[in-house]
Amino acid sequence: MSEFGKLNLSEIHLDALREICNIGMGHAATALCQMIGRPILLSIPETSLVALCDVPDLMGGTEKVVVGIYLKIWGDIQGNMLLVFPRDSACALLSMLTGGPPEEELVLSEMHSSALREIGNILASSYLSALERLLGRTLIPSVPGLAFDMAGAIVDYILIQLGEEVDQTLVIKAAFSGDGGALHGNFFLLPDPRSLRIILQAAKVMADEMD
Amino acid sequence: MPDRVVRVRISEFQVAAAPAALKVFGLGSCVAVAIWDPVLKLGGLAHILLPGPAPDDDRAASGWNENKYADHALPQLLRAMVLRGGNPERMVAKIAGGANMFSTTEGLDDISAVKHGIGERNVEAVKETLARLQIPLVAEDTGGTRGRTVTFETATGRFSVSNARGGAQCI
Repeated sequence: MSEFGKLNLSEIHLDALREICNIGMGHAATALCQMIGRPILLSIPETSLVALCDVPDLMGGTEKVVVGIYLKIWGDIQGNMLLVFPRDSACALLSMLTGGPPEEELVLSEMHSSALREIGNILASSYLSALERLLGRTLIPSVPGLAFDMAGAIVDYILIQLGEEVDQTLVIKAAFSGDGGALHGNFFLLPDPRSLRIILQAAKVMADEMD
Repeated sequence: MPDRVVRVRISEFQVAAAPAALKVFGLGSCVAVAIWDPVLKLGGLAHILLPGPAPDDDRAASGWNENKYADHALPQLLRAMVLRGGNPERMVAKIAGGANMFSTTEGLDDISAVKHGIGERNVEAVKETLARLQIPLVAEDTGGTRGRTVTFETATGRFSVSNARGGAQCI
């Protein structure tokens, strides 16, 4: 990584990152599967190195109304995690958890919000603890924050934090789905620029071991 | 009706003349700043990410995008409008954004790397810069906890703000 803004990543690095995140997602999916009692399908994580202004488009439409659960990551590796559910999927997930249909009302009740936050907490914790074991580094998730709004408006909170230091960011996106497509969501991981080097070193060691 | 809509992304500004419209989709803690010359029907819209000040070092030379900062982007926008024949003495500004998207979260604000109220700080920096440039702020829809989409029509100066709950207003 150069001093300001620009990042240089090789295909080998990205492969190793995808593999690491795939394993993390696998653990998160298992946790989700246990909570809702239904199988969860995972797609292969996508890694993109993009300008900050292009990140909102990766969320699947800047104006699309979604539930976003945000966690800050602390420890040896710092960064941002965002779990995004389209509105319908958030409703489906809530009814699976609570056993009843959620209200049609667009505003989530306090109970629904805390249930979704708890989901975010559990998924992020299982994802991060898998990464911790793989990378041999400490990763601590913050209390989750929840927003129910336009995807672009939710993600700009993260971009503001990254924007002080970089123009570009690495976005690791993993999609998951379940219940015949009624439930789907995306897990985004945006490492802080200073932590990226640590992740890449660890990824490189892993890539060498895989060879 | 606008013949075309120009999208303004994060850390960008755009200038357009009537009948075009300028638009920012999904604004959270960022701030959209519209500047309008009513005689020329020339409009500019900036999508501000950070309050600034823009760093005082050699980053700009290495391609660092300084238009993310209020104190840098707004003078640049004004310059671009003057190049198109705009007269700063006639210009007025309208702004929207600066929300706190995760305000209901206990704890997160204290521990987040971004201090509480980045939205407010963005709004404040935009207002300070506009005052410095002597462009009167005639309307605003800022703060709160909701995301916004902004459409600015250069023909009329109409600045409409809509949110995800279906609410819309023209300021």
